[in-house]
Amino acid sequence: MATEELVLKITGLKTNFYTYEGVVLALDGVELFLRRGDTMGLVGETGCGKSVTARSILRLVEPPGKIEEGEIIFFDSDDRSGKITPIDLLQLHPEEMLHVRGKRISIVFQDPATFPNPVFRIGTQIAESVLLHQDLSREVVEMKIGEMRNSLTGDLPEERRSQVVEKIRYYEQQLDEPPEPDDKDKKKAAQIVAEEMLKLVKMPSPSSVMMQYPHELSGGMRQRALIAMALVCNPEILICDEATTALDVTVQAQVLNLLNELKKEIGASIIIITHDMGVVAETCNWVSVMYAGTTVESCATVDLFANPVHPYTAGLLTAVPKLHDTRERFPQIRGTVPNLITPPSGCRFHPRCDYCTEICKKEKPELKEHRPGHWVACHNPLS
Amino acid sequence: MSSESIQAMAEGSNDMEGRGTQFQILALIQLIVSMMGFMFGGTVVLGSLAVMMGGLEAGSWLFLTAWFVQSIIILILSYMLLRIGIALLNRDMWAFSAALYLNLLLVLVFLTIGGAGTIFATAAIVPVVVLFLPDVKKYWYPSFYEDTVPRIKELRHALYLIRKSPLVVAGIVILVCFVAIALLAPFITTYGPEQRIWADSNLPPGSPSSVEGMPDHIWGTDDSGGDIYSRLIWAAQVDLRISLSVVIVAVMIGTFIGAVAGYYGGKIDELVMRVTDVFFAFPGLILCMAIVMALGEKSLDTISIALMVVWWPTYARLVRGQVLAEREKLYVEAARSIGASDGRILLFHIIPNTIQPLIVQSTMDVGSVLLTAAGLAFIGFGPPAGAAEWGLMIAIAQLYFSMNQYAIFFPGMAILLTALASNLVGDGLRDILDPKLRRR
Amino acid sequence: MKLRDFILRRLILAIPVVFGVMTMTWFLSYIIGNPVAMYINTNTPASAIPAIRRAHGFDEPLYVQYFLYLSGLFQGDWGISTSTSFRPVTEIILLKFPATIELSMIAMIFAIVLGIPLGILSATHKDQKIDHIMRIFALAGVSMPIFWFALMLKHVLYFQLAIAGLPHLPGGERYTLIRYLSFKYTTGFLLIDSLFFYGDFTLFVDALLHLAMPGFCLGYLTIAIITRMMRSSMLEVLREDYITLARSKGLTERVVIYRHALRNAMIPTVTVIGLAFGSLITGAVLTETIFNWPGLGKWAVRAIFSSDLAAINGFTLLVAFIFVTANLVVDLIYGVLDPRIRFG
Repeated sequence: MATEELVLKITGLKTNFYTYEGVVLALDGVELFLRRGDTMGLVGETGCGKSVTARSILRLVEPPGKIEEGEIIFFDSDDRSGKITPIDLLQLHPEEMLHVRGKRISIVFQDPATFPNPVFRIGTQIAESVLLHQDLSREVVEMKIGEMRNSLTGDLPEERRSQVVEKIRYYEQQLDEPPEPDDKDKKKAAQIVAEEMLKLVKMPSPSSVMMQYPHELSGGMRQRALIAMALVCNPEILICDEATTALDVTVQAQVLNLLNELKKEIGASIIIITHDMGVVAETCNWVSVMYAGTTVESCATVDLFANPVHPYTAGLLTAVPKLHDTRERFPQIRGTVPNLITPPSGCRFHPRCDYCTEICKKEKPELKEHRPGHWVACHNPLS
Repeated sequence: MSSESIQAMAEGSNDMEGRGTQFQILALIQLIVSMMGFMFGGTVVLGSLAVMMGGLEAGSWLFLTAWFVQSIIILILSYMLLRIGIALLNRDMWAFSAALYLNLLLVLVFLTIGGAGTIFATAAIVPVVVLFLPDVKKYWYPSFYEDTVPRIKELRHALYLIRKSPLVVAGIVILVCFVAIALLAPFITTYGPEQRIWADSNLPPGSPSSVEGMPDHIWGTDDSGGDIYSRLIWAAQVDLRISLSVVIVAVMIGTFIGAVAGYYGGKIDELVMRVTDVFFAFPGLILCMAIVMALGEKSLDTISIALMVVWWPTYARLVRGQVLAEREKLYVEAARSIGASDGRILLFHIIPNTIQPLIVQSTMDVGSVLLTAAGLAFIGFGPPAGAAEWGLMIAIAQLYFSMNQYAIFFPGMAILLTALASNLVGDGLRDILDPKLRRR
Repeated sequence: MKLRDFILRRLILAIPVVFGVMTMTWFLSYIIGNPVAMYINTNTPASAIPAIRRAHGFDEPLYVQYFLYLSGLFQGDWGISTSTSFRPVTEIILLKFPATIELSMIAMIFAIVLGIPLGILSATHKDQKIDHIMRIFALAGVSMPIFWFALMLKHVLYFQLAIAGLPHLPGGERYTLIRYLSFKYTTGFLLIDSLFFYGDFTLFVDALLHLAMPGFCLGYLTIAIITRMMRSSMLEVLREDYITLARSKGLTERVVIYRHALRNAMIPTVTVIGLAFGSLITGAVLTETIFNWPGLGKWAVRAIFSSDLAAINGFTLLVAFIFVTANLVVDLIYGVLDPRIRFG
């Protein structure tokens, strides 16, 4: 795949967890790529390393976990010039990484109940990111102009009116080269930006939500607030880590629709992590399937559902119930998820695979382009 | 029920015929032990009640008052063991593990009583030994083992974490040393606990004795010529026994009251909480002092009782909170749905799950009790003058502070080290046992 | 509105505690000695005793006595302190209270200012050398008999230095008595009086020097309690999901800890600070005795030695009131720190 289309490319990512029982090889050579403007689904069973991958991208893996090796290349495009610079996130200095987190790549977490900080107002929590990452000088000037204009609508003596008009003119001159604002104005402007964002995520009555605490909101509203927090700095990549799993089905649909609409609006690329094939089919145009810490298949969503190539994916898809199903028993993938402290040799799927051969037990398959636009890591791909 | 299982049961009972006598012996021993508990507990409780009423001439009976609280606990435990003994006759599965735990608990309580207690404690060990005779063990041990495997695994993990944390290891080493010193006191001391050489008063460390043939004073002497080093070691015996017995008794009373309050809730809970509130608002030292005064005699035993009374609310609070949280959990609901009685649910399901914070708190309190006892001695409510007890040694030595600082320094260090060790262990255990803080 | 309801509810909860303590002090006066002793002194002729008994209702049935005792307490009749030249207990409490509060406040400030940063430091460096040192330092505070620590401090910083002829900290009292003979208390708080009423800065410094040793001695115990609580609640908070979220926003570790984690970790710590205030007053009993501090603690110890019932009861009640008030304040601070409580 041509690199100029990509916005994120992960090769050979390995993350281990050093526990009492032994070293858990949670990620063992994950390969992912995300094209600019795509929505990619990252699917797999519980414990296959989806969330660890997401956290590894942001380097938020907490001890005893440690990213051992690999490359996570982020193709950062400058907002103004559109120039693209590749950055290896794993080589970045921790302080430079702070400018990536929340600003260039942001993440929405799974559980809206526990992720917002309970002691801060929603508005404060969103505005925090804005204050941190955005140069608000222009917004401050705009805010001041707005205030002046508002005051013009009221009853003012002629003398005052002309003064105000003059001030507006003065500020408008500043718009091209806004001066460094003071902290108080900045905070005010950040609040305004935050409120705009809440409107964008279709939060009902955003101005009152700004002043509320997380525990006063419903699950769906909290999730919207979290999405607002993630999107407020116009990130290049948005990662949704099981963002809809904890919600009711109806709320889930609303949030998914919202994500689809927002994507058009802000032009971010999205990674949706889920174990729900339905969510993938509805929202993603590209899918990567993970199994036990490795990527096994990666292709367009339509292609995957029509012609799965990896035996694991095929098994996964047959296990999805369909509306007019008449099957009495769902076919299962035999065996259980492997223990990642002593993972199977070779292909990690081989003990459960019906098409297993000698080579599968010895050699780890690489992710190869099986047919145009369809990558798979398997020695004996189907079809 | 399928025919195979009936057959299996029949075979089982045939198999049992041969060994039936052993089970009967076990049950019999169990019943004897519980009877002994009743006898001891009953005598002491009645005896001390009689003393309190003033019906009996004090003096000869007074020693019993110290054991009043322990005896009540022994009575309760004996009653439980009686029930278990009957259950053992019926070969109820649960009775075996319950017998194991409760007998060990009984041994522990007996040991806090001292000399006479050891005899009863040995008696209580007998059923434990019988439980592990090969034939008896075969019957109950496999299912017990299966139940405890996850717990043992957990324990092993905890042990691993303990080994990895230097502070807990240090604390344990210090505590073990102190216990060893206390036990070995007759062999490593050079003077008796209350032996005095008046001519030797206020000597600095390392001075030879002025009396011919007496050993050197390694850490000097106090104002009345007592050897600090020897007295310190003798005092270790006294102090460790006070703090251990106070903590054990307070834990049991507190657990019982807290568990009942938390489990039944409502008015009982409200009452218990208000009572503990009052206890917390009352300055501990003054309450202890008042109780010592009310008991009418300043001795180690009355101090112990006073401390027990002051200490139980802490545990009642702790256990109540835990029980409140556990009560709502599904496994309790499950136990209730299969018809388990309240007592069973509390004893076998809820309390085992509240044990970790109890362990942490009680370990730390071993130190705190020591400190409060020392404080009591300082304001003049310690053991009678002359006794070898750390707090009292400081209290008396501070009168001669400007002449002799060693008599204060060494007992203080002994208290500091013991309390620090118990706090290190407790604090470390909290990190290790708390699932929220634990990192796998 | 909400705040008023909240305070009211807490106050109602405090009533049974206060009643309980009053009842217990009443019991105490029967257990420790004879409550009539509160109203008798050595000069009372034996023939007057029955009259005194009758006057104070001691020949009434017990429940009437109990009622009389309670109503006496509410009317400000807390008895007469036999060990303090037979002055009313309330008068002495008013006189000595500022000294104890000043000492406790200084100790508390010591403890909070040192304890919270130490706890954070310890939590953020868990299981490293600095954490071990901090923990030993903190735990030593709760493992020391406070009077022993006071004696040792006094020995080193006062006696030894004084003998060696070096500058040393004062070993007792609130200020150097001989140097400021003309000084009279106005509010009773020496730090305030010296600056605003007496207007002598050297006296203020002198008072601070006198506060240093007993304040630190008393504070050390509380440092330990605060550090320990801060550490464990910080450790717990640092593992919460919202900390991950804060990190994912790209906030620096400093901001994550001091803004997002600290406020949450303070909630349990504040409780402990409130509870510690109670133990501080009890600790003052022993510290004041060693440092010859003219406060309530020293007075209480003397009262205990001379079986001065009214004084013991008065002190006990006062400690209970302080404890209850401290808890009330803690609850209010709670409401400020944790928005979930305010409406719950």
